[in-house]
Amino acid sequence: MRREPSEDDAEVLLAMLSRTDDEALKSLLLEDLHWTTRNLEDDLRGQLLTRAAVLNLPLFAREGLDPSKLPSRAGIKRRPVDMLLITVKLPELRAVQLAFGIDFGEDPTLVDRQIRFWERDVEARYKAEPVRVAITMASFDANYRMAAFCASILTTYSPRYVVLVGMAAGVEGRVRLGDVVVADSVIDFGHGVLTPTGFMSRALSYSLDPNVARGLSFFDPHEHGWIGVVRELLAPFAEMEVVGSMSLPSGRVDLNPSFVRGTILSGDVLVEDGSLPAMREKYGDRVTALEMEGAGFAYTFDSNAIPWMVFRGIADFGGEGRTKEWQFVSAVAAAAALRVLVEKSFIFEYPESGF
Amino acid sequence: MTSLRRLHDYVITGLNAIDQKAEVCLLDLSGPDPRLEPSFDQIRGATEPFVADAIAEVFDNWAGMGLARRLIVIVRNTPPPGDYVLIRNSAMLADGRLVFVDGDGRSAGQVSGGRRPEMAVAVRAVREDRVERFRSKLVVRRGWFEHETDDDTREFVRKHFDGSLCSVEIQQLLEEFIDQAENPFDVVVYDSPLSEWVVGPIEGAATSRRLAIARPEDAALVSREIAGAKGSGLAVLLVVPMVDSGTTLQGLMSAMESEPDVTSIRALAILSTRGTREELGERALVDAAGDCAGTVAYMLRVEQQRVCETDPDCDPVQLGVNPDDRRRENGAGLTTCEFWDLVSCAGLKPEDDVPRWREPSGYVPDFDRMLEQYGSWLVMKLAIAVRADVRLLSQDTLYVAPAGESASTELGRLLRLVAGAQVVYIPRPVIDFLVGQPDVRLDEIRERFGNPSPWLLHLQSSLTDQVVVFDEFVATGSTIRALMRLLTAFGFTVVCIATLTDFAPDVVRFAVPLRSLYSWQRPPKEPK
Repeated sequence: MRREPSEDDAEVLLAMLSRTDDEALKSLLLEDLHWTTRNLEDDLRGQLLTRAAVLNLPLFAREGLDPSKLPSRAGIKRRPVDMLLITVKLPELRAVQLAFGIDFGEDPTLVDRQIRFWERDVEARYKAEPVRVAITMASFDANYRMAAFCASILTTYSPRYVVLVGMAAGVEGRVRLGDVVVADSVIDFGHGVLTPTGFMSRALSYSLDPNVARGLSFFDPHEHGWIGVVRELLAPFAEMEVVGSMSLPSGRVDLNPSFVRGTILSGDVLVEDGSLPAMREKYGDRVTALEMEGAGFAYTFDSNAIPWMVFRGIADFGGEGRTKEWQFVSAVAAAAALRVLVEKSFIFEYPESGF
Repeated sequence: MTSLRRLHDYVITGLNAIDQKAEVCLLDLSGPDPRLEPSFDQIRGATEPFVADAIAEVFDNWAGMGLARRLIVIVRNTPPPGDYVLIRNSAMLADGRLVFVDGDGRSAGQVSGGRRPEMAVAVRAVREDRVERFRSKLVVRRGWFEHETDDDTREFVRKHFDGSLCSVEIQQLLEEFIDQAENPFDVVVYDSPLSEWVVGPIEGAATSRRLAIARPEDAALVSREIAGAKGSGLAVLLVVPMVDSGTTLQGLMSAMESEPDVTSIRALAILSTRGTREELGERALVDAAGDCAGTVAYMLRVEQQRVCETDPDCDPVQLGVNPDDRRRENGAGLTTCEFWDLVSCAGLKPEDDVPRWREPSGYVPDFDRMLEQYGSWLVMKLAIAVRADVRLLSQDTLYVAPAGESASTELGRLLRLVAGAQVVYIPRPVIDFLVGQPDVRLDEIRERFGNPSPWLLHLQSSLTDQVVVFDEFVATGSTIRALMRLLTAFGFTVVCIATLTDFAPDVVRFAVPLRSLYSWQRPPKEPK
């Protein structure tokens, strides 16, 4: 009789790995895990072996952490959620927490390797069961760090959809401050060749899953009271003295955002030289915004066959002397649009095929 | 007279009483003997001078009677060099008439030194009384078995005990218990909601001792009928398969005590999770207030482990592992969960008994300890695994393994005991010789390795032509191939190979099916 192992067997081996400190036993378990996963799909195998590698990193020793004070990963199976929302910076996290009804002081549902996750159930119009949403923050910008972060959290979660929510620099004239851009594609503009005559672009483009793109084409948050939701969410902050990550624009603001579909440029540089219009000339007229994480995010989830979306509020125009006062507001607008999408659209109606 | 003096006389009397035709005598000093307690415990270490003198006197007696006998003394620990018993009996030890052997197969005498697994098996075979056979044949399954609780919480026990392979031994022990009772029993009442294996032995023992038998729900009716016919109160033997906390048993005893016709109740559990003695013991039952609420005799003490649902290691909750079915085995092999759970229990050890032609495999599961705790279960699974290939009864199939490897030797012992199999061990030097030889020439084998050797005689006299080759694991397959070539040269048909684990499923292939309880591909080891 020949043993024909399955993914469940791999899960058992990972659990055993997480429970033992015996290096000899770990070594045998890893041998078995490599053999057990040999016939699984590449993506699945990669995820399982990544989890095994994570379990064996001398993480605690390296960071001087006390393992007993951290939540244990022992026996944790990947947590299934309908939607995993990823933010990068604190104003973005706060905006998403606000939109999804999570108090800023609320303890995370799960802490894994110091990554914090908050989970919420959201009632959705076209889904009998509540939509399970998990929210987290990557903490660091740049595409390579976002890719590593996304691969890492896939050892904890098994999401149906992932969304990158936050802020971006917009192309002035095409969008206004506070508008929300939803990506129909993300272009990694930093990829290229340095030649004697200068930089030759070999930009990489990542497109939405066609079903997701089709579904979004039917979605207009204005039809579902989006602007009212944004104003309601921000009203308490207008009446108080807020500093730091949740600061608001000074002076009177007439918040009337638009919801725009377009191409988002992504690269590991912060643009403050006003070059965005020129970049639009170079990469096409659908270029609407620019940020620093979308390409790493899209590539990681494309690799794992998980449909992704990018929602970005416009916080500045990438010009000299840019300020941060629109960051929180624009991120709230983006998060609120996403909340409306979850509650009102058909997104979860067909579980297996997307929209 | 002191106990040790009594022991001295007891040894002399016993050995002198042996029939004069006997050429070899066995003296077992390794186990407790109730007739000599408590002082008998004192001689478990180095042999007492009284025993040393007794052995010397016995040899003098035998010499006076013209008897050139051998005496094998089974001890818990072989006497260390310089021990009085070795000095006192040095002449007999030197010429091989006297040998000390311990339970691990270590010996002192003319042949002394390292551990010999086959000697350990021989010692166990000699010593195997009914309780020992019962212990060896009791199938202990490891898994996750739902345990009933008083509230809504889930609880699991890690072992399931199945005595269906040792019904003969259980019945014999029951009959002994009935025979030794101070007050004869009138009726046997038994309760076995989860363990049908006790029913046969209980009914057999009750029938052979002409006792009435009843389940608890029928006990009142049966008792009234018997008491009416007898004209006096009844003595009840209440038998249960297992007693743990004793709460259920106390409830049963209370119910029986309330019967007007019952004057005495004696409780007997086949297995008990508590008690001071490992076997044939008696323990108190403690009620909720902490008071003694009676006693229960038991045949064998066993270990059980309970795990509640909140335990982080509770696999059915944490991993979604399906709880095990007490009535059904999970197939012939071991699941990933079962195998690594066993390894976690038994631990690892550096590979010993490494063939000379390859590097050690590093750490391997401690198969000895695995077999010690769960041997009959694993052997039963192996027997199921080879069933498709072995068309004859196991008694008519020859099982062949390399000699000198402790786990294989223990596997063979259990195969004999559980399946009644014939087992032959081939000495390692023979296998080593065959590995380097392109052809197997039987005349050369006979010449090199002695004729008649026990293993050669066994192979030559075997009435079956069907063979199963077994070993603890497959690493390179060279040992098994050498055995197969040898057996083929003898005219046997190798029908399959059985191993506990296959470490080379991707690189080692045989011409016959390989049945392993578990397998994964380890990094191949280079030949030396």
